[in-house]
Amino acid sequence: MTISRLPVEIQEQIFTHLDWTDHFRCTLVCKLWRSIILSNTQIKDSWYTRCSDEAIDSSLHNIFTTPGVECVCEYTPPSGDLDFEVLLPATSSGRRGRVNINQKSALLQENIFRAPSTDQKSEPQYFYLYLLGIPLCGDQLIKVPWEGVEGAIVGEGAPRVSISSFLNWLLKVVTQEPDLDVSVEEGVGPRVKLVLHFSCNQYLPWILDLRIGPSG
Amino acid sequence: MSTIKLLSSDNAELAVDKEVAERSILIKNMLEDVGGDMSDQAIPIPNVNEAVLRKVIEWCEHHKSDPPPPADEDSDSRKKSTDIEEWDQKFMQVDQEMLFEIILAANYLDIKPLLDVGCKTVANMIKGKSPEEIRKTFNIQNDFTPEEEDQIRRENEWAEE
Repeated sequence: MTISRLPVEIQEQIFTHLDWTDHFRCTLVCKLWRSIILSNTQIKDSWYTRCSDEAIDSSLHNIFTTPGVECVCEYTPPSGDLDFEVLLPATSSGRRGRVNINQKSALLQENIFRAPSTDQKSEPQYFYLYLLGIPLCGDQLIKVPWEGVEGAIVGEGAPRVSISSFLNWLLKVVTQEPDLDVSVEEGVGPRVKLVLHFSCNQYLPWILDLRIGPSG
Repeated sequence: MSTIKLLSSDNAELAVDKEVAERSILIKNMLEDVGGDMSDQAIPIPNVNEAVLRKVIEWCEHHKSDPPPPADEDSDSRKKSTDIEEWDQKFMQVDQEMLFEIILAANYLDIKPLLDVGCKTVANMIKGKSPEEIRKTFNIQNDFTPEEEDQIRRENEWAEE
């Protein structure tokens, strides 16, 4: 008797006692576990259940699992308020969804945004960026001075920062230092629009590109 | 107190207090169906051998006066937590073969709290481990091709700590 020979519903029940970091490590163990975890909506839903607001739960879930989703963040200096408006792709009935997420959402406050560590500490660090385990910017590398990101924890291993802090930093870079490694469109005003394009690869949602431009 | 007899898959007859055996919803329903009088006839448990059945009965003995589990069985705190009470932790200190057999028996006999403890025990063995450590722990074959593994690694680099 081995673990892989337990009925699938029991293996699923075992996974429900774990959190998303364990789930992702488990998806790398074998094909069976990968397919169990990535096909179970209850397990995937649990990655987002730490938000207090149910509407936020489901909208975040939609963001990260729906292909072709556009997420628009509006940033208002000097208050620094960050609001997300998420445009869901049109359904077969032609209706286009729209949800708003406030930056106070618990999920966005958590230090779960992380980049892989590198051994070359003296070199400028370029990272693939991941949002909830999802690579940001597709295959593009982006330079992040972590010491400049408020609330970032830099130490052993991967730097960690909340999505909220990171997006705030990203938007400040765009408004204050437009010549950094983030492409900026002409005419950036005090309100900035951050557009994240999502797509699904074979397994996980994938952010294809990140464009920052003036509020439309 | 009335006693009933259970017959394991390897034909061992075990006498158990009715109250203890009724921790199993399967047996409880069975007894209700026949009107409760099974004093002279052993109930066959065809999926569970004697060693496992003895373990399961031991658990039921210890937990015979537990309050019934809350009706809201999907309550988040219960599901998410991997806390296991001390007696159950000791009870689950068995080899993996036995652990999985207990889980299967709890599932078959419909003893939800025992199934829960079993699943939590396995979850604790997974928690915080790297994929390679998990494979070693459970003797799982890595069945990804090097190409697939490479691709997955690139997608999930963040998960490798």
